[in-house]
Amino acid sequence: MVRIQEEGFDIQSEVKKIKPSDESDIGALVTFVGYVRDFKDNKFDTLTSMEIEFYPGMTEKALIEIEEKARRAWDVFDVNIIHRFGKLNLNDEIVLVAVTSAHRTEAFRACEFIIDFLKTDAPFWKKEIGLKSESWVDVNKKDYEKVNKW
Amino acid sequence: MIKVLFFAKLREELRINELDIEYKAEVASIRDLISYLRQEYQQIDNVKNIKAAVNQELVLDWDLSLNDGDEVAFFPPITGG
Repeated sequence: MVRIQEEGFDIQSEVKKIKPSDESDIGALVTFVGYVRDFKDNKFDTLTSMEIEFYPGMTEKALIEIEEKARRAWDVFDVNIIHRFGKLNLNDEIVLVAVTSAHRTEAFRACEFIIDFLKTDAPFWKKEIGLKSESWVDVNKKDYEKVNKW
Repeated sequence: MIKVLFFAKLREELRINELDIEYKAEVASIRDLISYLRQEYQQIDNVKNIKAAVNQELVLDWDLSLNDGDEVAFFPPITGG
């Protein structure tokens, strides 16, 4: 399942959606949560918030496609992807990827695959807003190199 | 009509979210369309590595022919996740 939403999410309740307590075939659950963090290299400014834009329609399709690719590649039970948009503050959660499987290897690999492709194939754009400046985030070449390795 | 959408930095540079363009020979492909848009919006060139999607599918070949009723989006490289 995929969801794009403005509001935050509760990790525990989102995890329960794909790992109900009465589900006994699941042996592994892997979750990834991405957060808004402060600038790494910019000593002249402090990040206060972030704005995330998306392409309604296309972005949902892209997320579904990424989930389907992961399901074709690994034997997973369920997937829960949430990506937020709008104004997010420092330390807010941006994205959740949770995957359940019988065994850890499939869950780990599928989770990493999904977050890697989210970086390059899901139409979201981030703008970092600092105390003194704001700027659209540049593409990280490493993200593209990583995706090409799958 | 061709519906054209702009996102992120490109939307800000052009100060426009979307516009409708009459379907005609000058906008027969993605490459033609962006040349046509550039006449009015020279700021297009302020954004590098512009990507295009037609009917919500990423298109790498900008010589792709457009059809009446298509939705074409232009945007900077994706920075999600």
